[in-house]
Amino acid sequence: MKNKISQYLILLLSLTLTFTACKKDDDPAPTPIAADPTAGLTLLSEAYALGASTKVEVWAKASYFTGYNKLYLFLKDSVSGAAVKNAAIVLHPMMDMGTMMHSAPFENPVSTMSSDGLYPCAVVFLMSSMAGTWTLDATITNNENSLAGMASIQVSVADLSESRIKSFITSTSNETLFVSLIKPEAPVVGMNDLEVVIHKRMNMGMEFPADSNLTVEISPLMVSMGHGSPNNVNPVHTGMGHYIGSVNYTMSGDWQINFTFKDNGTVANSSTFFETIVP
Amino acid sequence: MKKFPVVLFALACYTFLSLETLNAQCINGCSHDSTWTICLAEVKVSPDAGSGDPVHNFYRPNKSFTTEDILSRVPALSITRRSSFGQEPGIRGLSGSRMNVTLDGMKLFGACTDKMDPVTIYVEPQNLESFTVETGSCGAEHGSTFGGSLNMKLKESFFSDDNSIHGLLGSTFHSVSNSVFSFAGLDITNKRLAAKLNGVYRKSNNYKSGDRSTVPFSGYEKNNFSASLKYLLTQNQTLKFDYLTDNGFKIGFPALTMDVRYAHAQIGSLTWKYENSESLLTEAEVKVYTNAIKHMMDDRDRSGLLMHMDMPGSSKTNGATANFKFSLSKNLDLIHKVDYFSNTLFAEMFMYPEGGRTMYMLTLPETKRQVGGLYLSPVWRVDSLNKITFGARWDFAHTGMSDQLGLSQLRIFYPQTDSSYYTNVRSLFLDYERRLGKKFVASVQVGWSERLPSTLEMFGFYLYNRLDGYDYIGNPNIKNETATQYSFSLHYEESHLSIALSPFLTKINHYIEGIKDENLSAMTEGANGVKLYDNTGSAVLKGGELTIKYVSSGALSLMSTGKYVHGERSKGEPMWQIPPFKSVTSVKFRKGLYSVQGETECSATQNRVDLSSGETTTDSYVIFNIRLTALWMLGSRSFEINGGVENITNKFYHEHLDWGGIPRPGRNYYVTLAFRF
Repeated sequence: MKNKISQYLILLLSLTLTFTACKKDDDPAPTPIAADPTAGLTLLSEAYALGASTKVEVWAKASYFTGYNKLYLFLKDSVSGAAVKNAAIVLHPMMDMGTMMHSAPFENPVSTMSSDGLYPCAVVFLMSSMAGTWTLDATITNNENSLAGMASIQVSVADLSESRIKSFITSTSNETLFVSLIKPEAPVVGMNDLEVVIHKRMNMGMEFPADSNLTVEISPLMVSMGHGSPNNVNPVHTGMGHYIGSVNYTMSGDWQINFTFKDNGTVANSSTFFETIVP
Repeated sequence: MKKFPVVLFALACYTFLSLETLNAQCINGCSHDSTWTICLAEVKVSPDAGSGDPVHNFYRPNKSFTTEDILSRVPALSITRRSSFGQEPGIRGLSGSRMNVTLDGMKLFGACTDKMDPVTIYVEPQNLESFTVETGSCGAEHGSTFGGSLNMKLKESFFSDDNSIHGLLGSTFHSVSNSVFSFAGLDITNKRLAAKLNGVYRKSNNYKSGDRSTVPFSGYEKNNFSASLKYLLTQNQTLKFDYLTDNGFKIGFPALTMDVRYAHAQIGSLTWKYENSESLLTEAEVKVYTNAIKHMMDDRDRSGLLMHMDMPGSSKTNGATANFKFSLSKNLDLIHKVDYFSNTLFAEMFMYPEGGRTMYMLTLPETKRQVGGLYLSPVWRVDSLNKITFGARWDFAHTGMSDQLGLSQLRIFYPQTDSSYYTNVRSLFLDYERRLGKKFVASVQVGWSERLPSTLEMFGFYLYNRLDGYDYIGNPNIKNETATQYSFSLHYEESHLSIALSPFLTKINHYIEGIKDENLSAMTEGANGVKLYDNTGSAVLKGGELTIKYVSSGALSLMSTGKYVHGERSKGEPMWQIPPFKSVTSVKFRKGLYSVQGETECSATQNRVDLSSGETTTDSYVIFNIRLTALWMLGSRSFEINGGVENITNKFYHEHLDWGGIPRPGRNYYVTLAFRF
């Protein structure tokens, strides 16, 4: 009964068959530390701050466009070319339309200290250079050589195909407000951080203080289908006129984000929207 | 001339045989002994049993019956109809992932997110040997389930002592839809090799309903080809290779907003089989298999739409099974099965707005599910009156969805969505059978089972359900559904008459259904809103089947089946999509090689509907069919004409599970010519 024994073995073997499952380890590759402070940025313009013995370079992720431009001023000693790590910068954008002039909202660098000579700041260009000439003046106080001077930077601003800046007049106080879309920069299907900044036009367009008093509500809409998306977070004010929330896209295609602005509970505007393409 | 006496003999003693075959229905499942007793929780149908078999004529009275037509006549089975082809089977009110559908034990999963391709569409009765329906947990042999199992067995080929070639050719025409169904088969066999080829072609135009109007988008076209090659290794070992391909085109779905552009399936398997009734290991079967399904749903033929959409989907399955049957002692058998499969599903949606950018969504991000399982079932024949069968299955499942876009989509709803889920799934059943006197056999089954949530229930994204008009979103954190089951069976049998009654009760816990979320807006145009899948309370299903067979010693035979299911959710509300009482009765009169068969199909009114889901009531109906068959023997060849009228009274009706109340076909004249050689 040799056969019988081997069959018992098959029985045993088949009964003790076990399963193992392997779990894959997904260790993300270590990201290299960037040595170049301007890595990922493009040099847009450069000018000399006369009297401060300082060269001002403007770096950004993209060329100048109508809307909120995050800029990085790279200060260098005009003789040695070394990075200037301690300087105060005051911006002053100006649009010359021939018959009239106006300024634009801006954000000066928060600190006078920079470990690599790069000073983050921002300017909201309200229109393209088709309407006139943009100049960005930067007054530099170089604390390393105790000299000061102004650089006058020529700026060429282009309109984007999907505008990232909108303006409206509040029905509550008749003021002109500018809303700039900062995030999402590159929208994706799923959850996206949403950030806008709001500025108020004052003094014939010479001053644009940040607005922090509004309540902002959003609702994304897929126009061609008439549906929205769930679980969006209304942006709330976090400082300097910046409102942060999140927006969800359930599919790729043409979306718009509809905004409602409320002033003390009263609707100040509800016709503002941004168009976005979700690839 | 060789075959002639054999056929005659079969016809002469079919009275005797038919009851015999009814008794010999058990292969596996609750009752395992095919000669000792009948299997009460199992109905086995041979679609192509010998001519003159009343069972054959009851389930497949018309040669052009599709797989789903045959299934709709099986007790305990019901069919959800969204189209004239592509209907979904359900066992005792439970369908989809609540039941197993396998082909020769192979797992297959439809590729359509809208259930337009239940896998039964990819096989033809022509290439099947049998269906085995095991109800409830007794179906656990094919995977953990409480709904039951439907296993379709591919046609077996047999070796012959001399080289022989046999074949079959035929064609059917239906007047109601101007449809043609053609089939051909070829068997080439010798002592060691058996080859089988089968081909089927169907082309159906839009059919006319009982009010003589044409039902738009009800036509379809398909072809099916299968080949098998069996080789005798030794006296008790065989190796078999099977290949099947099925290709459907322009399958209309009148009850839905989209149609199927194409549905392609390719199925292949290699099986080693061992049989030795003398040894401890009486049977062994090891199979490796693979199948791939490609499916495309679109609305290119529909007009008046906001925009056109394409919804392609694919399903790929690889797997292996190993079955062993041990005869441990004279009274004790052990059935043991080890199986593994991996299924990858993927479905996407493209929307083309006029003048706008194409929109894209993953309706089911690529999901890979791997399941390994162990099944053990001892069968103990205690004495000549008592038999106890126990069955247990343990499945270990891994479900992975690591598509970044899919994860981003789902994290809108479930920020914690993971890309990997491990689940244990278990099934248990106990079957006690007792012979009560000479003519009665009674049995009781008790079962407890879990089932895995489907990947659509976990990761589906805005899947529109036309029935309630809601977009459905999956829930990755969903738990297994569980169910406790009780069923009873009483069988009476004497020489001419057999009656079987089998009531059941199933209680489902952690019942999975869509829950309305008022805060969400629908994606689909005109939809009522969005539902998210979740485990809710419980649901109770009860009902039963009655089968009566009478075979006179003369020319008359009768078969009648009745089935009923009552479904209730925890709050006492009726479950949706529960079929009302339905009965099919067939009377056949045979004289020599000619026969006449009269049939009546009736269904009760369904008033128990889920109003909150927009389900509506359905009226009762009765329809009548008549069929005539004539057979001529020409030496070893035979020629058969089969014709008849279906829905003689041209009744305008639909069944409760017919979506959208789309009317069924009206009066249909059909004729089949078949030639065997």
